[in-house]
Amino acid sequence: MSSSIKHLVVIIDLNPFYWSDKISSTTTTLNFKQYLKIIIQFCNAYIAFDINHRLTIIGCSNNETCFLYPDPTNESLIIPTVTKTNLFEQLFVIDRVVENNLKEFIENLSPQHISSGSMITMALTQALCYINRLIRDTLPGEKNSFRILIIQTTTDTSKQYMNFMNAVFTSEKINVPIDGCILNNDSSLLQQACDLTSGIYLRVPDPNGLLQYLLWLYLTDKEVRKMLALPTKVAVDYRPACFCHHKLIDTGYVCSVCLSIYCDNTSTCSTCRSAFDINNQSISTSNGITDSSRRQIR
Amino acid sequence: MSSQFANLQEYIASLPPNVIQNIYGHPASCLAIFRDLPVLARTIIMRFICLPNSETTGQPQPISQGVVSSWINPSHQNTYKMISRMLVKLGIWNEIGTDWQLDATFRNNLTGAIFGGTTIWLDETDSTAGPSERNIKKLDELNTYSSTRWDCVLQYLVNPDRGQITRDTIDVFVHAKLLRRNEDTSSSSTDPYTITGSGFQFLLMNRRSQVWFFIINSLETRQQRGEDISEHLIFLFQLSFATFGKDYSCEKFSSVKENFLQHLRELGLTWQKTRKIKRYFPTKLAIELASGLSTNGFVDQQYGNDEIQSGFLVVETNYRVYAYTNNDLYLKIIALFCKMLYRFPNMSVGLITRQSIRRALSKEISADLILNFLKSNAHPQMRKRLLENKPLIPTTISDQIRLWEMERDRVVDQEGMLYNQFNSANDFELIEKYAKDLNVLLWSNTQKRCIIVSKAGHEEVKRFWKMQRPKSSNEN
Repeated sequence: MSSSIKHLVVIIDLNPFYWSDKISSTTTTLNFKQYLKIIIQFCNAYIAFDINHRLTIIGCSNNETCFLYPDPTNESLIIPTVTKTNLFEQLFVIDRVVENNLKEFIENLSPQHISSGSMITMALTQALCYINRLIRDTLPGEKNSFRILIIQTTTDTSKQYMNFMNAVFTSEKINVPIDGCILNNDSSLLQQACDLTSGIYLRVPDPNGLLQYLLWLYLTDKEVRKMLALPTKVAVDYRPACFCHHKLIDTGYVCSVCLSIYCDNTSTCSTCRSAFDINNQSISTSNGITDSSRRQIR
Repeated sequence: MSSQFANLQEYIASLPPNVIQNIYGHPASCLAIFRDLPVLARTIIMRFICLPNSETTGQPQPISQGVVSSWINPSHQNTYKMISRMLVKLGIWNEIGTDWQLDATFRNNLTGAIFGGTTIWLDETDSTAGPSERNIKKLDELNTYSSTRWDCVLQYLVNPDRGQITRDTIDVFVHAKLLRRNEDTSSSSTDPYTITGSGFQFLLMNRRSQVWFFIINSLETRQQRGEDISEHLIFLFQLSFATFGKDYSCEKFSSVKENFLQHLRELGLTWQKTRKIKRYFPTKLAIELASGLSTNGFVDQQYGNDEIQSGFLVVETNYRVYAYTNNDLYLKIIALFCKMLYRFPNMSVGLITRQSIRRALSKEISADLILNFLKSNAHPQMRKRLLENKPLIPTTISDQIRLWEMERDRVVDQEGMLYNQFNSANDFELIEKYAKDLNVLLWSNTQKRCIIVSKAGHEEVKRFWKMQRPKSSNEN
């Protein structure tokens, strides 16, 4: 028996804005309740799949994040009350814990602070901190693996670009693949994250089949994926966001000292405070291709 | 004996088809078997489960074999073939024409176990009563209880007049050939049984493998007695998914099942205050039974946290073994392959010598078994070696033990035929060359004109010699 524990951190987007739009549009597509049910089912399947699977669920809304599972205090309250269940006892307990925490989280959502993007970055950073703690607690001789799955519903906010990419690079460094699953339009940030950390990115074409997509692709880790025929990678949108206005850009200015990206020419770099030589600007406007500070970013 | 049902699916596959169908009737057994399958098989089954049952027949939808194989990377098609054979053998997959179809009961109960279904997993009758304070056992008490019970069973193997175990357990030991009934009962020795080579091997296995091996044999004994073991299997699977430290009701148990529960209680797999109180606590031994099955019984095992803590052995490069324990059983087991030097109140010292290892080897204990025992009981201090990327057991020791084992295999015997008294060197060389070409020559000596040919090659060489003889002289 190889007792290498496989941890999965699921980050779920619980942004109420996405779902409030849904209600008004069509009734045939997935609603919030079904979405939550599917996520819980996927989590059940993940835990049931292998004895060595461990799960952490982090929920994030437009301005808050919350650890939904594990929650030992809540669990100890539920265990003794289990009397009759039609599914695996451990799963029954997990489901109740997640349900309770979800309810609490959604009820406490503060309606102020209106922003349509979700705090995916915040949740991702929390996940990485949590994983880091688990890595430090690893006993000698154990080989544990970690993975993050982000289920996103809202569109990207380029405001989070810098923090998000920093988190992604950290994740790549500690060898934690990030898988991404998006219900909305393609997300370039998520795409880049998956590509850099060799995870799987998928845009779910039909939200009603979400469970099938999740079970189909995201149950297993790298080793098993080698054995499977997986969807081919699409071209990744590698556009970065500029540091000044948080816009996604194709072409921009790069600071020669700290590599910060700007969409427009500035006199000083806001990150490292180095002053740029304004005199060079005359060359750049006449011939943009030969300019040293302006280059194509990929 | 090591090869006997090293894992769950091999055992399940060996059961008669009707028993297999019976155990698929409960979600717990489906989930336990599912978890024991190779990871690729689990992935495939999960994909099958994604599909809803066919609307027309209400049966699981068949999927064409070509489609299934297209899910798998071309470089792993062999693994896929192996898996499909295994799934068919286990009765999980049915072949319908060119399609694969998931067994209906298996599918329903597995989805039930994971997503919630109609079959009831837990059958708690007196939910309102709850366990009274008096009957609650503390978690660490449960652990000590189970290990003392199991030690007691093992004690019997080493020292039959010490451990107190029931007839049932002895039957299982005899069935598993761990104990042998003494032939002459008239002799002065009072114990009717002696331990066999497999018995020694059994003692050196890690606890999980021991319990697994014992339970399998126990089920076989019961099967021979004509009991329906599917009920017992389901019960064991249910136990293995139970929550540690929670009690369950056994009020509705049939007498056969009750008897089995008492057997498990004796082994330390369950705890019950008295027979009268119809609630039992599963212990770690039972919970780990199906969940901790090693896919490979002996080779290179990794251990759970609890076992790391319980380690008490320190092995040094000077061949000394320090055992920080008072447990007589462990000291007896160590004495099987060590020369014991000193015994202190909390620690004993032994020395690994060529003689002591050879004595162990002669009792059919293999070097791997000894090394595994040392590894699985290594002291936390020893485990720190792993941090420095050193092997757990010093290489000097492990190599030397292996070398001592190989020493026993120095001489290999082969049957052969001796050809001698050749008249001329020419004859000798002719035969020698011919035998060499056929690759049947075992040994030859030019001075003594002797050739030894393997038995398989004898006929051929004889024929050749008879053909040659008329031409040359007339001696064999």
